[in-house]
Amino acid sequence: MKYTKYLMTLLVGGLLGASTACTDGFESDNRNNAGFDSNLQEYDFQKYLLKFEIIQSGIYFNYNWGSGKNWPFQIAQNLGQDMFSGYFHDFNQTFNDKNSVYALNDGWTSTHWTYNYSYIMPEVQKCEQINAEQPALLAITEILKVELMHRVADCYGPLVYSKFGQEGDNVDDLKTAYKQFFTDLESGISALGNFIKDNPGVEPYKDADLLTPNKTLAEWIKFANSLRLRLAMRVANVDKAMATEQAKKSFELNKFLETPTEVISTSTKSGYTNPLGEINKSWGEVFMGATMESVLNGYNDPRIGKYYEEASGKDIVWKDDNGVDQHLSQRFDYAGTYKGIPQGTGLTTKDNRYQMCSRSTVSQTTNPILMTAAEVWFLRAEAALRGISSENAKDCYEKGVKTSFEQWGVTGADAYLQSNAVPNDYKDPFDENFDMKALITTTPNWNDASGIEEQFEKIMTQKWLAIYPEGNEAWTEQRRTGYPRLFKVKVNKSGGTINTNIMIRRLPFPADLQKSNPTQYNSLKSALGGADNGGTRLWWDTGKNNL
Amino acid sequence: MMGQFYPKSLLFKQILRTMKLSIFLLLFVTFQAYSHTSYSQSAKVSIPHSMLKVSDILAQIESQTDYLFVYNKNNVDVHRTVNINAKSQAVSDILDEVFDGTNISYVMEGKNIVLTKHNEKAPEQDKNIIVKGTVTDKTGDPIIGANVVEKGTTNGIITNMNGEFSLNVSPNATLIITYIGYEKMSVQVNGQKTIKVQMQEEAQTLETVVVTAMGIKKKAASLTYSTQQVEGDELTRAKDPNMINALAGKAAGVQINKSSAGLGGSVKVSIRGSRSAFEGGNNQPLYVIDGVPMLNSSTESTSTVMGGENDGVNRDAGDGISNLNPDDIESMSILKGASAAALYGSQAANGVVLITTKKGKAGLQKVTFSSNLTVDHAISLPEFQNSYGPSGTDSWGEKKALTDYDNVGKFLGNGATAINSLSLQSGNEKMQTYFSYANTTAKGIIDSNKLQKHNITFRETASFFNDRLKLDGSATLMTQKIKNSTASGGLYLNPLVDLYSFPRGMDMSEYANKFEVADPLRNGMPTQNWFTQVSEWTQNPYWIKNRVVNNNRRYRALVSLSTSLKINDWLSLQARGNVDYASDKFDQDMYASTAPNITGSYKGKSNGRYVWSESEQFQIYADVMAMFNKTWDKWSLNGAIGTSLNKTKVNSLMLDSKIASLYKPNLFTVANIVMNSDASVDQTIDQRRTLQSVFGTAQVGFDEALYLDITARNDWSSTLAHTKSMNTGFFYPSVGLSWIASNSLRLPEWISFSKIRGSWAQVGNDLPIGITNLVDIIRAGGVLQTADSYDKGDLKPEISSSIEFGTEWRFFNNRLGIDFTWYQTDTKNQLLKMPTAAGDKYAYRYINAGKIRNKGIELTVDGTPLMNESFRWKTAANFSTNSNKVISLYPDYTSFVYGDPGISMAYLMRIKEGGSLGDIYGNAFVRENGKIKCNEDGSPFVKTGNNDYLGNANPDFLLGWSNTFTYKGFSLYFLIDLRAGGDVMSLTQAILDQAGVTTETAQARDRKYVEFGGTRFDDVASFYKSVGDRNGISEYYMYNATNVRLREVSLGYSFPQSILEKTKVFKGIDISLIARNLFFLYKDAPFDPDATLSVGNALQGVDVFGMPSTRNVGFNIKFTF
Repeated sequence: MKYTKYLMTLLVGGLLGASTACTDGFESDNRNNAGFDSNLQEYDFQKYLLKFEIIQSGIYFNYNWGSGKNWPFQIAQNLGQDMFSGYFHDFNQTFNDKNSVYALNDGWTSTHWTYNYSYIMPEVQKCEQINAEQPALLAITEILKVELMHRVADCYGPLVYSKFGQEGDNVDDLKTAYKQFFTDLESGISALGNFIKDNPGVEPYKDADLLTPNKTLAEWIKFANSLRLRLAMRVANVDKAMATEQAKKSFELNKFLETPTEVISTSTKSGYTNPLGEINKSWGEVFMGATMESVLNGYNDPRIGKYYEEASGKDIVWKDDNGVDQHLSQRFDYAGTYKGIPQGTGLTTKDNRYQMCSRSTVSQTTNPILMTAAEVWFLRAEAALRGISSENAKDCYEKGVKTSFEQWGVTGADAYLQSNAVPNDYKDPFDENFDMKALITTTPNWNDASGIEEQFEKIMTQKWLAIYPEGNEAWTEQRRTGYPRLFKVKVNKSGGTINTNIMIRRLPFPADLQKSNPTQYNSLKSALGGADNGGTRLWWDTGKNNL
Repeated sequence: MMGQFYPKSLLFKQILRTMKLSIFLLLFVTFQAYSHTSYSQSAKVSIPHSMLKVSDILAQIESQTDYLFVYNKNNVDVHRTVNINAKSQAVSDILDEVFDGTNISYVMEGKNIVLTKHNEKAPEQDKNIIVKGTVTDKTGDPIIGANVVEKGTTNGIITNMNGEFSLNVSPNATLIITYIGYEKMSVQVNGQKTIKVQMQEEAQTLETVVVTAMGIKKKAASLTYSTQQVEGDELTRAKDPNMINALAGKAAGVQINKSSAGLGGSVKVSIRGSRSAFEGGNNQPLYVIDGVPMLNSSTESTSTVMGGENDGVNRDAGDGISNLNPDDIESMSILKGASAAALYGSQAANGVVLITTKKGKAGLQKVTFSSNLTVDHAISLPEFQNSYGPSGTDSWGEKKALTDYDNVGKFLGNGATAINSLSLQSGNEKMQTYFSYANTTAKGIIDSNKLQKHNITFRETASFFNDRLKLDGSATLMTQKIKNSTASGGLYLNPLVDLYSFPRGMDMSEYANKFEVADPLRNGMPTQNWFTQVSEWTQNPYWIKNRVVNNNRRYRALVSLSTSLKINDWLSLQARGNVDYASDKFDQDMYASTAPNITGSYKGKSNGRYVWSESEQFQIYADVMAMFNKTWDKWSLNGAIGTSLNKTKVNSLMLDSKIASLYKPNLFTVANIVMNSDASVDQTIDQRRTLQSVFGTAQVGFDEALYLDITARNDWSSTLAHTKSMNTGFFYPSVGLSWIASNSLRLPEWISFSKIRGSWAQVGNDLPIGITNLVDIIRAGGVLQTADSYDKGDLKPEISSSIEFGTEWRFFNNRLGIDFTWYQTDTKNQLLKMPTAAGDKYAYRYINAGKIRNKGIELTVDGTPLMNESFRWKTAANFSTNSNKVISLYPDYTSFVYGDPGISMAYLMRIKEGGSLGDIYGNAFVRENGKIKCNEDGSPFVKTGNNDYLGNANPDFLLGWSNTFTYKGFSLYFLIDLRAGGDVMSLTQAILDQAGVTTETAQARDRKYVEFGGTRFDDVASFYKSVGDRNGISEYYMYNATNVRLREVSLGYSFPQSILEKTKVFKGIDISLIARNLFFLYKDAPFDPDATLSVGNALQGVDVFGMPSTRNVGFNIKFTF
């Protein structure tokens, strides 16, 4: 068998030859050819600015991490904070048995936390690393980080902030987090100041800036300094020393958002769209809250038409089993008026009777507002009232109202500030059981004679009207101060964890943490110092205004 | 060792080189072989001079040739010793010598040599007649080599290639016809000149040869592991458009879950339980056709409880296996354990289904036409009340006698499935041809859902150079068109949601005829008309049916070529290659005024949504193997070494306007998509996966009783790029031992066969493509999406180590058989996509961790309790259990959510140390001191968050019991299938209860209370409004998944030859009445718990408006020419 040798040689050679599996090609095989890789990100210095797109889209959350847009905002803010603030309510009655009646839906209340920690904070950290040598960009990252995370902190309480990216116990209690917010703002503000001084006229952030009107670093200083005042007032009831120290820094710098056009809002000129606008204009689910109706109508506030559309109200009609039209008759004709939806009716049928109430005017291209000059005037009014600043509370209050009127393009502020009008009682268009007496009795006009508490109520009520439609901040300030006095829920399905009169105080931590990371959960809970439910007050929420 | 031979070469070049080299090798050795003149027409064998047992001689012949002996041990005395000395002698000469002077005769049929017993006396010849006849099997195929003997004489003959014989007998003679594996027949001649004989199979054929991994054929008796053979007719008895559904209940340890997606949907085939804790991981077996792996990716289906990806595209247009024509299948071999499948290495973790297709047969010409028609009717629908009328849009109104408008019945009609197929087989000894065409036309229970499929297969086998070189080529083409594939579940764009929850006592027909009305504000544009405000949760079912339409098209081509070359007595070479190409097109049109959350708006106007997608998958596979087979004395050795290359490439593009909407209403073109950041573009460019392998296998046998099996494979996979393991690849070994006790011990007569086996193996599960190299992407509208997960460069494939023991026994001349297997599989290095906790640098991290254990038993019993000349009862039962346990996960990470939890749904799957895959979590009642906590109004307090364990979706055990009764031409088959244990959740029931449309809520209202867990709730409506809906208290909606059903029934009749002969056309006519899923003998859940929302790993054990299962009743008719 002389062939055998040949054969074996060939065979072995052949098999080896065929199997000389070059793994050289593997790396190119295993790459995503549709990817935007780091080499391409070098061009035009893109890498320094890229992360800002995501961070800025993640504040008023509308970042698409691969699961679509808008709905994350709906569950993370619109069906929670926006409703609790009294600004909005969904018409959709299939949602009414959840947050609206304090049966907090973990699938919604957990998401403001989860989305920020999964998709935005990691980008902040990457951005800090990429821009470690870029002082201006690093400063802006710090400011954005505070703006992003105080909105989370104010919903849940303790959180992961100062020790983000560290292993082990990385939880901050709320006080620690606030201290760090102030530190980060200070470093951002001073770095920007130095940068402007050293590089006059250089605007390295211009191309990525989605928040300031003129895209200048100077505006970022104003924003950051105003933000410092916001956070200082936030802690005023619980830690007057901290509030005073930080507010004083703000006043020393004396750079604030002051004029009506100085509005910090996310630009919809590039890929970012306003999620509230989509939910409102396309899905038709953003309606006026009952308290808003009561106050704006009662005060005869000209901003009402800028905020909401008139109701198209009429009877709700459906066919019964005999094919006859059945009416859910309106108690009064509310078409053409402004009509809000009360929170906490617990109605769950699909008749969706509130579908013809007043809708929001916000559209997909409206820039969502994060901070206005008017808000800053009201913060200054509060600081004055608290004796932290030397300004006059009344002046600041009236500047706040006027700035807001001007910002919204309405006139009549002077008359409004003289008005003795009070909010209206709420009348439900279909069911008298949902009628409610107005709880607010204060008026727009400033009265030096009225007590400091009532003056504070005026400031807070007007601030609430002025910072529309940012429900996250409005709800936070309402919890801190108790103003405005919102309508209470009719139906409470919190199982006793939330008192109807004290109202909801916070959002619970994501329930999944209890199972998936009990260590972190327990750490958060102990930092909270109370039950992890909607009834526990946060650190700055003292239940009284220590004016 | 890599890289030196072909530095930096492209893979394609490698393939070419591999092919060139193989061809060269083949040609070279062919030439060598051909030029070697000493070979004669028939195979020659050399046996040194010795005294050998007959069995040893047969073994020698088997090892030196391709022949396999087939004989009945009771007839052939293989222990007799013979003095033999053969030097390159023809097999026939040796056999003549061995059986000289015995009553054994032999016939060579193909590769088989059949030994039969006959009487020695010489035939007598007086006043005889010549009888001509044909012997066929029950399917009408001729039986070649059957023994036809005149009773009481030695006068006999063997049938020829066409099964024909001609014999000179006395007019009153009785003919005895015998053939191995078939019942003995006796036929009275009674002066007839022509006789047709149809033989029935014996209870069990002996010495069967089975196809094992890589297409290597082995004697079933020698295997060291459990496999299950399924004959082609199991798949065609009562056909299903996805043939794999027909396996349900027929194989121990194999669980079949049909997707609840209507026509043409995918099937989840789970062999010995789920092993992979990776949500996106692969839990489906590898399908191998004639030795070559095939593509089996399924299309996107329901991904959350809400619906499909992108909140819209929720379809299931089938998987790869559903593309095949069941009539083309000769048999299937299910390699269940790691040992059986180890030769497939990193593709084998979930078992392998080997499919052998039909080919032409030498000396046979047959044309078969079969037609199968079934009518499909929805079963397991929710139960509706008719005593409480509407209140608003719910049915919580006044009590009164309502008209039952049967809105559901009017919407869900009868579906129909017609499968017609034609096949031709023809051939001579050198060339054989097989051709088939099949056409499937089906209409779903929602009449807009249609399926049309054409399959064409052509296969040619040929042998050259005295059978030394064999070529086997085949081409299969398939086109499939599915119109309006229905949502396989979920709440979005699913017509069943509103169909079921529509207020009772109201007539939907008004909205059926007028599902759209002209909108004067839009100048008459038809817009959706519904009894209440349209939203993503509530839409007119008739609108969804008619105005949310889609088209799925698939074109598939499978071309393969296999060559084998016999080099010498003990060595042969084989090279195989195939190309598998699948092209899918999909588009979906959602008309303007479809729910705004799903379709968005442009400039304030709802203009509709358009989804367009095209994808191409291409797989090329090649392998080369050297196979050897040698026997020395009592020892035998056979095995193979080889190498293979498997490369897939995917290109796809999906454009979806999503909520960015369209510029102009109802114009469904890509250009009309508002392609801003609200739209979606999903593109895959040349996504490649390469798997290179070398492998070897050897089986050592001793004395036909003891077998040792060893396999080894090393895989290099491109998905391991950027990991430490890229260059070393992964090694997958297996070892097994079997002992055929009945061949080495003298056992009592009534034990026909006994065997004990054991094996150990490791197989793997490759990484998904690209996860070791994640990059940012740019989405529609130019927005950035960053990579949200990371790993530390140490990812490895999952490794499943499996150990199994089994034993097989056959008794009473094979009338009773038992096959028992115990196995345990530990899967380590689980690939986990861990959602990180707050504070981590990425949203997810990929790690290898954990250990998941599956263990279970499989028991198969088959028997023939009754058998006589005209009646026979065959029965078979299979029983299997599998228990799954998560032994460990990761030090700091002992629990995580599995799959997309969806939003605000009272259902999720969670994996937890100590738990098991398939654990269902949801919202339980909150109990304080054993009492259910309530709100002030007395309704139960709802605590969301899905933190409560509610059950596990996996069954405790599965049992399938089939019976076949044959009486003359009639045969009755039925299969009863039991799934015991396991839990399922019905969010359908929860949502319908909340709407007040169910019988349950009416009964509670009549009763005026609901009682649960010892607490009585007097406000029925508020109770159901709390527990019901999609995020209520899902504990209340857990059901036992146990069900027993009559899975398959067929009553058939084969026309006798006496009638067929008169037609002069037909060789066989078989008709049968068939039914699948006829009814449940027991069921607790309000839906079919075996239907699954998703064939992936997540979404198990939950129903959210899945398409109801169907009962299929019809007939099957088959003509053979």
